[in-house]
Amino acid sequence: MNKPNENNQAVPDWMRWLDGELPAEERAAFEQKLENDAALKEDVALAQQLSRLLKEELPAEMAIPHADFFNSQIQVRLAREEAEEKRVAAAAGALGAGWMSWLKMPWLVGAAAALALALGAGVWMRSDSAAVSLADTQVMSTYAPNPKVVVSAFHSAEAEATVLLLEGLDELPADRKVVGWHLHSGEPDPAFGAMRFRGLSGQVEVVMTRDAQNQPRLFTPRS
Amino acid sequence: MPTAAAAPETGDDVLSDIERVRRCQAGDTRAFDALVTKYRGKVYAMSYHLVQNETEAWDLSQEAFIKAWRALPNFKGDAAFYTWLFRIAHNVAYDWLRKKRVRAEGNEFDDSRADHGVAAGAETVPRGVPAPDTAMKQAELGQRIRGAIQQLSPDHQQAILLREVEGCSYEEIAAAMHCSVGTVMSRLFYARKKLQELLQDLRP
Repeated sequence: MNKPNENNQAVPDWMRWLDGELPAEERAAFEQKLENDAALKEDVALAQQLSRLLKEELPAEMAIPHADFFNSQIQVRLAREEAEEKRVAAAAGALGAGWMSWLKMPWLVGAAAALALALGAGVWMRSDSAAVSLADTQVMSTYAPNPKVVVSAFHSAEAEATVLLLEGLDELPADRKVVGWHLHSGEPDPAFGAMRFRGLSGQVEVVMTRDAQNQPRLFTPRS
Repeated sequence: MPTAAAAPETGDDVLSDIERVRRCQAGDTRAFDALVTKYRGKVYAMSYHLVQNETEAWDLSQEAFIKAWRALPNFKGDAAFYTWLFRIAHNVAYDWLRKKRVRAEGNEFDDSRADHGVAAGAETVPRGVPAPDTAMKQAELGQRIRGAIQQLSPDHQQAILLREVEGCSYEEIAAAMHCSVGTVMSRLFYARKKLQELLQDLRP
């Protein structure tokens, strides 16, 4: 039996049998027919010979010329494309998709909260820098994504410091060093695909970028 | 369709394709480099069989991997990575063949004409195709077969290569070529008939 395809063109059973696509219930009948039909046998033999030739002469895998160069060229092109994407994103005046994608990283939420708090403190410091006394000032707004975390902020004019208290955080491992910065402003650095954060006096305190694995990396001039 | 399990493995190849893909999606270009190393030979072979030119096949293989990198964020893992990569590579080569034909003929490639322009049972071959006995004297067996493949339309080439070289099932070919299984069977049948005509002098 021949099966018509969507174009109403008959496709012989021997082809589906040869390709292992003939249903089991039709296979036995076809093989019996094959035993007794010389013309059918010849068709199948020719198709099998062609299949053998193709498999022998057209390998599924070939050694690619200059294989190392092949890989390195791909890496070069990917790096160029990434640099171009960053340039376009920076030119658009936005932080860019690559930068924004960091915000989706779970661990960054806590860090972002702390950074927001620090920046909030910095903004407040700037707005009140002309005031005679800072004794009664306070951070007006705080936000912690984790609802279990309670944020308190205090400023000491004498110490020239703002203290941010985060209650409800998991205990930090003893071998972790905690570092804080008083950040006043930040701006993207398109040349390096990074963000620069500045302190009150305008000096760069932190540079945030990402590595080849898209993991965030922080650098400080003092580190 | 070729699967990741059937793909070649190197000695230090301990990560699965899907794990490497996840890393690529996180921006890890080194993970992608490992995938390139693993599949470049297969992608290159497929491209070479289609375009018959080392330099073009090399460039098209590059293009296929670059396109794959760009498309990786959309890779959901529904199919094996190599199945997905093969489709991209095949489309890149297919587009190249289409454009080449347009340049050569000065008009748009006509799929329907290519599909049915040469009757499977025709006793003559298209103008410009050397007679089989002449070709046999001029070339080695492999070249003869590649030359015959080149006489097929791009759709017939794809179908026969996916089936005979890559070992794809009809359904896998249909998925790769975005057509029905019936169309796949039709293309395979005509491709085989055509190749038998072109290579009839090789019969024992």
